[in-house]
Amino acid sequence: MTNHMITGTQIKSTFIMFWLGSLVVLGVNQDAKQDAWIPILLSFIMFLPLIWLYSRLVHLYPGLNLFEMLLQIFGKVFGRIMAILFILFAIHLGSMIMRIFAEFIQILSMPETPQILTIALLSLTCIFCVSNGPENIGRISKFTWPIMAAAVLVTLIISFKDMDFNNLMPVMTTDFKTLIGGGLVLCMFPLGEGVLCLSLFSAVSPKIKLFKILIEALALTVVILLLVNMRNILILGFPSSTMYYFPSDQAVSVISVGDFFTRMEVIIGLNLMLAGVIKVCVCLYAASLGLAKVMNIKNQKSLIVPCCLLMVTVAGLIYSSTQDMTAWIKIYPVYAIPFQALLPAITLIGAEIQNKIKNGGSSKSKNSENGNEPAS
Amino acid sequence: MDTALIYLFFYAFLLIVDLIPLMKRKEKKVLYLSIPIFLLTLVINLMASFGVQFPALSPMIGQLVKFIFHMQ
Repeated sequence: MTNHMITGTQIKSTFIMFWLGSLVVLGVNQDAKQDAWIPILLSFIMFLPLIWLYSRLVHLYPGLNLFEMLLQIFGKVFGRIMAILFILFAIHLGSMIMRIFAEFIQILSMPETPQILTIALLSLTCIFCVSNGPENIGRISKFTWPIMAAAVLVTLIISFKDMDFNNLMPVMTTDFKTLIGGGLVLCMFPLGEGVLCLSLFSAVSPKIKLFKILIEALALTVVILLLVNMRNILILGFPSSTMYYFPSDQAVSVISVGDFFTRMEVIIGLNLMLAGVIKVCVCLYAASLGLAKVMNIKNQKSLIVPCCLLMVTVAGLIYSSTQDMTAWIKIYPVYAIPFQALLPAITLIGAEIQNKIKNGGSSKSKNSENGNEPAS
Repeated sequence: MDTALIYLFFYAFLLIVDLIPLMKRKEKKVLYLSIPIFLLTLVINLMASFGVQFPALSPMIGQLVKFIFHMQ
């Protein structure tokens, strides 16, 4: 365990910022049309089992991070294979966020600037942030989360005069299958990605009540997502909100206060910058920590730069165009199921079995010490 | 050319900040991993900046996912 501990509030903020990393800019899946708020609410209920799974894992192995758990549960060989899968997922996710960041800035603000400049500056920020330890990610999240919430609230309040509440009509015309599907997609992108935050848990204070904290974080994330989605639909309407790569930016660009307070979309860029940095930092930390554990290297910090270089390179090669990016986002929830649901579930089953064997063994030895043989 | 220059500056900065201190500390295990990654990614990025076309990764993974899950 490290000397400085991440507090409950800090881990809550980290989860929120991680979950909102890209969604505040990209918006949520629009298959449910004007009923998109229903899948958002459903995703809260659908994600509860995974919240329980995370809490149970941390409860069974207090003070251990994801990779230490994997090695302890599955042993050196199988544990390493699973760790490598999570490392690859962390690198891929980090590079996806870097690319979204670069695309956003190139399309909307600086079309002549090469994407690598944005990616290089972002990665340098993340390298220095992660080099200062996981508790630094927690501190930054705690500081930046209120700024992001305030930015969303400000855009919502100021845009009130531009909203058309008829855009929400007709209500509940989408079929149940699409609504459930939308909820599941949200569970995979971005909620399920939170499994990578488990890599921070060797630096989290073991005294915290994780289940309660994660429920609070999930509730706040869902509220923010709901507000962002409602704002986009109420301003742009359907199908206009589906026509843009970055609907949040488009919706907020409509807002103005008189003639003197315009170009509010810069706030959306700020949101992406704050939450995107946290998300890339968590991915970078998870990848470097995992690599250190797999290669049995004590100093995880010396692997931050190699992992970041891999992310930068993958970010450059991941899509050939912005259309590729939007097409991939539709496939991504299916691709992510093994990493976000299957592997964590297998890990929990392994952890429960190991815990049962351990408890059985300890009670057996206690009984034999007392001279009582356990009943067969 | 601009892109290649940015890459060169970026890698030179990381060389000074990260790789040279690692060499001084003689962390052999880390160096065996860091140096190949450093060189490999530099070569790929420079080639890409000079216009060499690499296949995009996500469409390839997407094809694989569609094949496995029988998606349309």
